[in-house]
Amino acid sequence: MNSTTEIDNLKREFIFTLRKKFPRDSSSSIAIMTVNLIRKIIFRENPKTMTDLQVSLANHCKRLHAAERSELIIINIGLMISKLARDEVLQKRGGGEPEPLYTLWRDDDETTERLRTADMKKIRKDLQASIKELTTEIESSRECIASQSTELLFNNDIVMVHSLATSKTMHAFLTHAVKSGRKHRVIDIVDEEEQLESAPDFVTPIELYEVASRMPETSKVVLVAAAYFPDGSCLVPAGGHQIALLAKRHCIPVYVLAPFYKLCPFFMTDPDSLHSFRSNTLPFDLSAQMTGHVDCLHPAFDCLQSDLVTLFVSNTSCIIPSHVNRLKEDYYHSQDIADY
Amino acid sequence: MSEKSKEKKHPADKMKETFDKLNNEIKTLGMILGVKNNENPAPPAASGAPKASDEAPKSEYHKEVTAEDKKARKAAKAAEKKARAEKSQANKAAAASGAPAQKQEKPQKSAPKPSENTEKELIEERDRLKKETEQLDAQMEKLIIVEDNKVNGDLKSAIKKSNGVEKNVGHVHNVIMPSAVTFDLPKNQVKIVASASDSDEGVASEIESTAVSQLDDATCLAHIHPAFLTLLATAEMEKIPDVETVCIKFIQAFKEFLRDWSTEREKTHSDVSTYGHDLDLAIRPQLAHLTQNGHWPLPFALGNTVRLLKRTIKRVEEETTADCEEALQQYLEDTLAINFSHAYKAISQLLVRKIRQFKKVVVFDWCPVVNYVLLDAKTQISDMQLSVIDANNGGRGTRHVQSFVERGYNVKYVTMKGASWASQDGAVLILGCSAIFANGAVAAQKGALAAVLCANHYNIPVIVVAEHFKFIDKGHVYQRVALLGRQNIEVIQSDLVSAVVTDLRILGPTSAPAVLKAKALTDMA
Repeated sequence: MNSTTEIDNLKREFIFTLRKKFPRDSSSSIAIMTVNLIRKIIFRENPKTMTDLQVSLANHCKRLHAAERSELIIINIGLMISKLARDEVLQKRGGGEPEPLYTLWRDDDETTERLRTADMKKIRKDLQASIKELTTEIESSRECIASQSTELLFNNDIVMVHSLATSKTMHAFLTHAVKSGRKHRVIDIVDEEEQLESAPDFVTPIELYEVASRMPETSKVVLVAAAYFPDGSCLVPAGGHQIALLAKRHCIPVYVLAPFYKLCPFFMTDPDSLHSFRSNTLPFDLSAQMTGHVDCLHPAFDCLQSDLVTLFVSNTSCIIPSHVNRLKEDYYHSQDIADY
Repeated sequence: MSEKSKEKKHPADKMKETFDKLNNEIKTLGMILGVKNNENPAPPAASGAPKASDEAPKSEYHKEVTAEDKKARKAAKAAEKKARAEKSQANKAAAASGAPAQKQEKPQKSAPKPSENTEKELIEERDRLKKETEQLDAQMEKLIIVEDNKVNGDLKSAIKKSNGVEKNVGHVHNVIMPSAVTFDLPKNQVKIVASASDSDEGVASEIESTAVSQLDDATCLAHIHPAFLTLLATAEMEKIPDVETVCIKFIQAFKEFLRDWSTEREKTHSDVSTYGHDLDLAIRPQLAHLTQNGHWPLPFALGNTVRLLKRTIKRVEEETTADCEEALQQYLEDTLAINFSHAYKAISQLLVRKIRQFKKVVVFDWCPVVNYVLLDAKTQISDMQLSVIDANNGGRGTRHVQSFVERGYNVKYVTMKGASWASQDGAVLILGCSAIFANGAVAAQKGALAAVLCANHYNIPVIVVAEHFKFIDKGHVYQRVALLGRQNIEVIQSDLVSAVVTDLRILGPTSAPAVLKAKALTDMA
């Protein structure tokens, strides 16, 4: 009983922290927070077998995600940890890979048996160690992605970026390129008027409606992903769709910065459930006139189809959209996904 | 000073006051130079100043510029020059004799006592000082130019070096010096003269409440008709929102001009057969001024209208001047009707039929034609839903919203960020435009291309609305045009547009040359 209430308290605290922060924390810090939370939960819960662990993790993740609909990272991290646990078990017991083809989509009986009876106590320490490694990987993902900027951006490039102000990863990406001595021009698309003045020195700020007239002179477009899916499509901050369409019309490559913890193992069947709307900022007298009749919408995300994206820049390497499905195997176990 | 009652004065009275004031200044000079005058010279100056500065900014005043006024003004300027020269000399003398602050103190002291002057004393003083002025004048002629240059540096920041062909007559200028230093006070503002300031500056700003042009245009601006001047001023200040308004205002200004020009012509009893030719000549400088001598082209649609107008003028042939004028006025009325009210109705009729099958309509940014169509459609189709995409938050798209809210309809409003989302939800995108080129490309507001691409992506039709006078024979867009300032225009290729609705019929965008031919717009160079 005690541990359950403790766990509930932990989860509640976590959700409140997420909701209090405005503007939203960077995704990496949310990921690390989730990792810590799950580590504490496992520690308190003390599951006996692998199956228990998997079931409890799935439950917790579902609950957390239901509370905070737009944060897909929570599920991602939960499932990643679940995979780590499986790996540990199989390693300890001398795993049964490679599996024959006809059982690829599910574990063979031997492995299932092993997992069911595996004693968690023995692998606990190792599991904690792997979880720590996961945290380190999340923390270092920003630098890894930034270091790839030298391979993608060249001299005399004119790069168009979006949401430079809100994404630290994007900022790191560009500053790394600038520091390495690349001489390129950066055009930043800003959301509000205030950001026009506060842009860093190496960028030229423009507004979203000017993108079409500036696109012919651009040579590369870089966007940030909020989440990306196994079919190669991704969610980007609102406005990204038009930018990508314009880039396609002018045959300009679109690079999407996507660290590994944003890779969602599920296909998005119901995007409307995810399209959160943000509050709109209208002048007061306009709002006063319009009450009751006007529906002011401010979507948070745009969904980009996979044919609009040239490359996903992940912390390990750059991947093409059709490869994402294979990549998810590195981080998630298919059984977990099937059972979720 | 500012509590004095504001009365409208006849121009002649104003001139009289100006002269009075000048005389009083000279009196002050006389005092400094040791001429014994026990009366208070400064209170008249002080009272003259407030009366003058209370001239309410008369926006109509500059329109009644007559020849007499001009002469009076020139005389006033010359007198003012002299006054300033004398004053500067007086300053020099005063500084030499160690009493520099005397003159400034006098106006200050006398400001709170305006009631002390009497008319008789004034008249006596004026006569006396006139003689003194002439004496002083003779002495100081050599020093005028040197002193003026010195004083110029001290005068306040209202002076600006003119740098060539600048803004148009929206500014009020005053020519003081041959050295081309001009005052640059904004139109309709009279500088309130503080009592401690240089009194000759107060004189200068008094005179300036009339619209005097920049040094280089001084002569030719006088005959630009005030209707066009107003048009320019409106364009400058209000930033006219769309091309249609510009066209309507231009036609109205032209009608006024025509009326006045014809009445003048009647007086001179010129030959009727040269009416068209003369009018054509007369209109040229007006248009040249509008476009700053060809520096900025006219907006596309307006250019078409003007060319058609010129053509009609050349062909006019009637018995009497009055008939000519009537014919042209009738033509202008027809143009207004055809291009605007009838065109809107025709377009609306054609388009509402099509919208009927689409329940959800998306529009981008403001266009009066689109607005007309939408309101018409809403009355006929009650379950039509409208989404407005706006280029920036609280921009011109809010006009659509307002027109709907006023009538109690529901609207959805998104900024550019939500353009993709709105297109996903909508069934047809309706766009207004500035012009349609001969190859079918559409010149529309910035941001329209992004909205059109989103619409294409979700496979919804894009309909562009254009009256026939927006079809032009050219190929590219100008960045800066007359009367509309910097244009925020981008070009949408014809393959992205599904249909163009004109007042003739609905056609595909590549059929633009057919419209050009039908309306005889082709042989426009």
